[in-house]
Amino acid sequence: MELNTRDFGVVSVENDAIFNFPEGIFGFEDCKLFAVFEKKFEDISFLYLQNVENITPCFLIFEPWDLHPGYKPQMSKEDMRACEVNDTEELIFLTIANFPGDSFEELSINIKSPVVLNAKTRTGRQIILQNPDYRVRFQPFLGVGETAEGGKQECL
Amino acid sequence: MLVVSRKIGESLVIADNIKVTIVATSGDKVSIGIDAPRDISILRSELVETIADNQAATRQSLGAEDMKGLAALLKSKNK
Repeated sequence: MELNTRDFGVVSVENDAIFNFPEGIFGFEDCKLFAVFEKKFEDISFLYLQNVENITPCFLIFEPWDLHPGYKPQMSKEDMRACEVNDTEELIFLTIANFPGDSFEELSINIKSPVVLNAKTRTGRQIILQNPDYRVRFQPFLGVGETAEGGKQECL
Repeated sequence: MLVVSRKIGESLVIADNIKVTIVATSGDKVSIGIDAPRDISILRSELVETIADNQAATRQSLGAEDMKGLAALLKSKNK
């Protein structure tokens, strides 16, 4: 389908790139349909989460492991049930990027509240993880947003 | 910040209409009961921060030139 994007005009996406968000996204509870699309710059692939009905909200998103190799999300049982999975491995994790300052070096990703996609049910949610050390603004290039190595292993 | 020690079952009152009670503790978790008027919203701070972060993120439209700059930075960090 043809998608009107915030940053790049009309982008064509496959139907399997569309996800239903029954609860919307935090702060945008009325936005129920999002598309994930990829755009390459200088050989690097970037991912976007783009509202389908409007050109906003739109988010630049990163797979958390690209910027936080030791990322170990701990989900609550309620969130597992809502996402219809038994294990975090069954979900695609994405984190919303932000630039709290003037420079790209200050890039932050929200490792506390990732967006999770269930490819089987074609649904997505934004959830709040239980990891006590994870902060909303993890800044990988500044080393901000997580206290020292810690947190327990996920156990179900 | 005011720090108050309370035992399980004890409570404290904020203004004259919000009552906060320590219900139970388990390991490093504390269950807190809150009695407040209906028009007072009570949200976990991570949620308030996430809403603000989402709202700021969607306002940051980056065009192709900006994205090339970001790509160059990511490349330099991955070396």
